[in-house]
Amino acid sequence: MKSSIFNTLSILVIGIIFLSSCEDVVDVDLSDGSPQLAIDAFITDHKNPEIKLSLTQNYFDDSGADYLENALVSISDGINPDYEFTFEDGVYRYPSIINLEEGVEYKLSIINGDNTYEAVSSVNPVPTLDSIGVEFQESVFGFEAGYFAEFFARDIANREDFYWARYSRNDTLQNNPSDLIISQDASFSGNGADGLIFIPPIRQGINDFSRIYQAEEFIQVELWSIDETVFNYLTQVVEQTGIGGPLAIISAPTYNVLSNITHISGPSELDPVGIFSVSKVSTIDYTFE
Amino acid sequence: MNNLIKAICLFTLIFSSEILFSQEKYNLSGYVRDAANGEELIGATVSTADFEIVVSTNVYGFYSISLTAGTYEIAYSFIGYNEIKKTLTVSENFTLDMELTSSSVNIDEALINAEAENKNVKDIDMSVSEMDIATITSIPALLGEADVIRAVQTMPGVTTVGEGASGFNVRGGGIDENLILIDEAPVYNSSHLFGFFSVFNPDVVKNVKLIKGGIPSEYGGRLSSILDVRMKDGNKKQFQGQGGIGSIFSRLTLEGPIKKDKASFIVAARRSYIDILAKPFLGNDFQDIKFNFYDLTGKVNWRLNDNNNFFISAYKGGDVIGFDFFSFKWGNTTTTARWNHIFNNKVFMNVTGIYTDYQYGFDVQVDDGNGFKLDSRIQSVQGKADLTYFTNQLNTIKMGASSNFYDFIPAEATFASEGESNDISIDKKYAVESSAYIQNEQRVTDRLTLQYGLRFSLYQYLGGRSVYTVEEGETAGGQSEITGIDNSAGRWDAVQTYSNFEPRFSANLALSKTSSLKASYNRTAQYIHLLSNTVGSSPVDVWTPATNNIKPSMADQLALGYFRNFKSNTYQFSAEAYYKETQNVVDYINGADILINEFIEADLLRGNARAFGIEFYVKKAKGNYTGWISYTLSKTERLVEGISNNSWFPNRYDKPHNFNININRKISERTSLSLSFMYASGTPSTFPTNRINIQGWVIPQNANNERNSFRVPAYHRADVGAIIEGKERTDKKWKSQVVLSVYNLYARKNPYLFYFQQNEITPQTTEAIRYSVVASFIPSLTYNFNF
Repeated sequence: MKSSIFNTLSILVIGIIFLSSCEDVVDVDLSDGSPQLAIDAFITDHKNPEIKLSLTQNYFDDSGADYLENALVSISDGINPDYEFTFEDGVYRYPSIINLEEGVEYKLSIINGDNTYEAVSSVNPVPTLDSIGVEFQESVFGFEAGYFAEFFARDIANREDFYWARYSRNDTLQNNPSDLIISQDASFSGNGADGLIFIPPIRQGINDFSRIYQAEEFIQVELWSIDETVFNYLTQVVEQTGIGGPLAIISAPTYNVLSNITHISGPSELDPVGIFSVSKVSTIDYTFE
Repeated sequence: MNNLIKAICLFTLIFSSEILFSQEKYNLSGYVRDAANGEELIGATVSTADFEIVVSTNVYGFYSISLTAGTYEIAYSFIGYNEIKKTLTVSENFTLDMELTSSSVNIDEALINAEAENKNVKDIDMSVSEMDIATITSIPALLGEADVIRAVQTMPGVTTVGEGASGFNVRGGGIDENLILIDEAPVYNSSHLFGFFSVFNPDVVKNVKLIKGGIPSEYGGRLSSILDVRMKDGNKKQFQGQGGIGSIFSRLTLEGPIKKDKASFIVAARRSYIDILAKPFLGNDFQDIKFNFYDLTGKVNWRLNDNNNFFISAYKGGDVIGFDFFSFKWGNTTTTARWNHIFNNKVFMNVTGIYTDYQYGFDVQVDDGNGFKLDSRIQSVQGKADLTYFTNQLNTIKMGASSNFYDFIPAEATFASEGESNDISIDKKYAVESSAYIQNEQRVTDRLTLQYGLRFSLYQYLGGRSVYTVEEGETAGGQSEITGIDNSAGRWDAVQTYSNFEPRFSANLALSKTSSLKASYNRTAQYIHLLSNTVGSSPVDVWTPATNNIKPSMADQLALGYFRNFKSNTYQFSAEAYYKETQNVVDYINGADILINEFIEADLLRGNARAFGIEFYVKKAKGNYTGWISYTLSKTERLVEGISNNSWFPNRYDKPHNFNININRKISERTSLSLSFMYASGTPSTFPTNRINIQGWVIPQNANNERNSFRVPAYHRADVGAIIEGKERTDKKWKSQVVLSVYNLYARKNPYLFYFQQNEITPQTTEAIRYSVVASFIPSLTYNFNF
């Protein structure tokens, strides 16, 4: 969950220690595991909602996931009529933005044949993104000169908040696992950074040191409010996908990331994995000059 | 309690028999020392000529031998020293200190002395590996630097997770199950540079003893082993220095008398200098890089009179990594003050006061208003007293008591962001661990010796902070729920008390002069745990006390051994089998947060562990070729509810096969060569079976829910070394030595771990990466000197 600056530093330092260390891509025979139902349901008040249902594949199988077509997918908030999703081009879609209410718990229901799956997630408030700070950086550590950016926002005080910051560069979402920026209040995890401006490693997480921003580039930062379960989920995703190199020695061993999806009824030939999340989003744009 | 009463009755019986028969028995006692420097010798043998009565000096070099009135020839001997024989007429208790001269000039003679002893066969000790510094330095070492813990890792029953991993695993136990002592002070983290080097500077180490089983009653607090490292006291005769200049660090040790034969000192320092050497080659951007480790060791001792000796020893070591605005430090500090008192020829007492701490810290100051600071620490203050009563030829009684006060400082931490700061410290935790023990070593018959004892440990988790209770959550293996928080317990109020009786037993049955059968049983309890949920342990692993939520762990171990010497002690052979069961081992929920987490106890799981194995060891003690071979076949696994489908799964450090060979060949008076080879099964690891596609990320998933069901390929490595002594010149005190070594001779890329990731360019392609810490051979050159 370190931002790229800390990753870069740590890798440099540890790299010096482990001077003769080496990483090789190798062939490994993995055991087979039964396919599971993967649910990818991140809903925001920012875009028309999309939910993907797919089957998990063998780890090295990159042929593209099989999507589940004939499920009944809906979201309810207990007040309004259910939001019914329709399947189209591999994705379950809802035709308009769902106006997510703060403090409300939303329930996702999936009926696939005789099996019913459910998940809940709560909508939390999100602070406004105040500004983007930019500083011109001379060439350092052998990296190119260019712009270094940070986003400023203040955590909402007197409550425990969880956020996910995402950013697009020239309209391309930066979506490698190593680009995940998540925070509890204004810091990585644990209590105590309540009500602060996001700490530097979080707010500077939108930089790629190997490809520093140049004039005329355009970025958009989105700050999503998430609930605690989703925060834990993303933390685990980072642990399981984002760390390589010498840091792997002091990273977590492989384990199965959590899921907030429950199998409610039916013969259950497919165990559910994945996540359902509802988020309010604030955004800010910036063009480097 | 019944057991205690029985034990007291038993001891009373022994004491009374002592009184009955003691009229005509007298005790000869004293210290055995090295004539060259006055250092007390640990484990030197004092015996009658017929070997009817044999005793060894204790860790302070003291012996006491019980004799009936008469005339005896008493032999004093120690491996590597010339034997001295004294004819004495015994008609009263008396004291005789003895100084032995080193026989380094004529090593064969010394080994003949050792041969007569058959010490390994005769001792009650089993599952013990004892090494002197000469043995440790004879092993070809990484970057030419002899290392205590790396030497220990060549012994049977000892494994490590991999290169650069801290600590070591003994008979299927975790790294926190080893009590590592430097002059009786516990060391909470034994590594420099993650795990490449240990904190012990070999130039000040006198003796190293690893106890894996049959743990005597005087030791407690950890489940699996005791690594007892004793420091030199300092030359009492003359000023002396030694040191070395190596590829990674330099060493300097100075020692000498403060008052001849009465008081002496030793100080030693080591520092790595990669950072200094690398500076000219680094660009401007790297000039602020900090990267080093160091340690300082010092000791003074004072022999007030024949009956009172005082020692103070101290250690401080640390590692520093950083840039101008970022630093990461960790290290240990220990201080031991000791008083040896001889009441009379039969009663020896040691009183010790110990302070020890381990701390690590991060400091990131991006600019004035933005930063992060974290300090975490464990510190303990301990007082103990041990008494040895050499009752008669047949019984030696030891008893003692100790109290250890712990302060755990999980995190003192602040964040600052844009000039505003928040304190996120976690309150200290306090605990006190006390113990008392009594033990007798009894020669039952000429062929049977028993050691039996009982240790009682009492542990209290104290208040002075908020105390919370957790209850297991709905899903086994998941996070526990906090069910209550209570602030009422004061600083010295016991929130939770645990106590354990820990019986210890060893037996030695002599089958012949050169062979014996040994058996032992011990129960051990452990009240503090090292939390580490990463692949390899790291400096930020935190020690945490047993609390109302975390139970202490307890282990029972049975061991059986056959010891046999061949060809007049040329070959020493042992085979041992053990079985160990552990209750309440600590495990972790997935994604447990151990760094700054007030409610860490909700992220912990509890399980049971078991380990069994068979160990073979052959040592060739003399001849042109010397060395040893060890092989261990073992299994270690654990059972934790909610993990791995509630079935037993292998521990991370399970290595079924573990083979080591070390060979030394003296090719001339000045040159010796050494070769070592090791082979160990690969460590178990969890690999994914499936991939989950979420948001374009490929998340690994083990659909079978099995932990550690794969193994990385086996580890094997050969190292070679040569030690070339400089020409000795009678007119100069300066002696030098050149040590050449090549580590990982055939440049094997031994895998430390495999990890799985998405390809950076085509993110949907996943790949397995083999990570090797050392991927080439590493040659080195070290120059050692002494004067």
